[in-house]
Amino acid sequence: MAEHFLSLYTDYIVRTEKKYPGLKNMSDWEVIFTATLQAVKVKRGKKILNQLKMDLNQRTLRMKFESMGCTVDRIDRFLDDIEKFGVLTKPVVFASLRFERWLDLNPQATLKARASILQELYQDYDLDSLMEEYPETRVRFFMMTCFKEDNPNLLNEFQSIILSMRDGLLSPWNLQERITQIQTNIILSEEEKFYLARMLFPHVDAADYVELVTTTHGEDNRLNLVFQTEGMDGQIYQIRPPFLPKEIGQFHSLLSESSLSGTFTAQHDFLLLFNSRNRMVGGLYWKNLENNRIHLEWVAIREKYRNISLSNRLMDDFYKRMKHRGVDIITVGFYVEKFFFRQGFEINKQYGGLVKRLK
Amino acid sequence: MVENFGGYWPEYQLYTEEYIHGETLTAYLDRNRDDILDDSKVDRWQMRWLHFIWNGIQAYQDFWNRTEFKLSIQPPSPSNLVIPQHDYSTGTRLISISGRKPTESMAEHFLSLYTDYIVRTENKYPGLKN
Repeated sequence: MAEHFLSLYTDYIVRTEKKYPGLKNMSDWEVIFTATLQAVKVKRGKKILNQLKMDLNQRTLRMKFESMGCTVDRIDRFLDDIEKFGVLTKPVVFASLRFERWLDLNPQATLKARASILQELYQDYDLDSLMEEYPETRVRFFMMTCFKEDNPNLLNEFQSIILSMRDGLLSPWNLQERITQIQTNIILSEEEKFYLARMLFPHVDAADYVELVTTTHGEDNRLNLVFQTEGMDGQIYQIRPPFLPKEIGQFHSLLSESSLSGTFTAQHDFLLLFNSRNRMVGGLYWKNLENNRIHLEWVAIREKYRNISLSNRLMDDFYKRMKHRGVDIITVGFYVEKFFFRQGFEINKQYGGLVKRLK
Repeated sequence: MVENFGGYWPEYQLYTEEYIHGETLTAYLDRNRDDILDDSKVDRWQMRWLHFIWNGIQAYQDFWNRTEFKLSIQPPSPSNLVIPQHDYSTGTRLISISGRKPTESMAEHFLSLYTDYIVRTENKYPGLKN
């Protein structure tokens, strides 16, 4: 095995570098180790690297490796890094390098512009596709780009999140609880809050104004996303889940005002719309049926606030949130068909009422 | 089109030849030899080279893994690889696996092939000798 690694280094890297001097200094053993881990998968890769360390007990091989800059210590350090921070995969490295290059050329870039390029790079390098094998991918990408400056407390929290994900104790799709703890325990700058919201909710667009708010539900804290939007009347509105039980009561009254009857159960969730004075002007609620399917019960907008596209804004945000939750199918009763047809709902023989598939 | 592919498979008494769309890494680097030496383009080439190393090593290691660590392609050479030019593209290919060798007797076996590789590469690129 030792010879195999040595051969990769000398034959492939060193000789090619000699031939093309401009390429020097960008190759290193860590790249070989990481590429190995990516090829053979992490568990097996670690075994191989440990075997390689054993092989280096042989003096001749050890000398050969040391002359090439590879020592047992170096392998140990690499393995230690993997334990602490997960695998630094190639797409994450290149997406981060590209972000750095862009930032070098555009040091005055606004937060919005930075978030926009981060989102683009995340998609272009298809980082989501790595999440199954490397659940730490999204956190690692954000650590290497927007969170790399300071705040050691925050980095420690990320490290702990990565450890939990690698141990299979935490799903990369369900970081809400851990981020809530971070919000509660660490003092964060506005910039950090801005990026944290985008790390947690990938559907949030760079230009969207959002805020992460921690609310109390019984003894638990829960993190909620407040999305800000503009109606056709030029006014700012906020879309968010209810923070207080009385807001659910208010929504019930709003439904009654609209001549709709609603019976709320523990299976129901709500998304509400507020004006700039924090007055509820509309909302919707749905029943959770299966992991990937929900039933939208009613959508209502207070009469005074109709015809300014608020229902469209509310529905757009609703779709994004549901997609983020892993919902594929939304069903709705057969009413206000014109509105729901415009929203992409259709008749389907498998479902009663109307159905929309989130792609 | 890559045209330097040819494999002899003694266990099947078979010789195969294939033409693959793309340019080998060696051909690509040869074509850009002057550009690589251009001081003003160091950053660009450093990033590209990192990409070529990463993909190339991963391809060779992937083959090694597929053989349950019994065989590896020797020598691991850039002329045996087609790697997309852009780091965000996928599709690295090994052109030939005819150079596969058992890894059990790695040390001596590989070292002898290493010599073969050097001689062969130097014959192909005489400038390397200096």
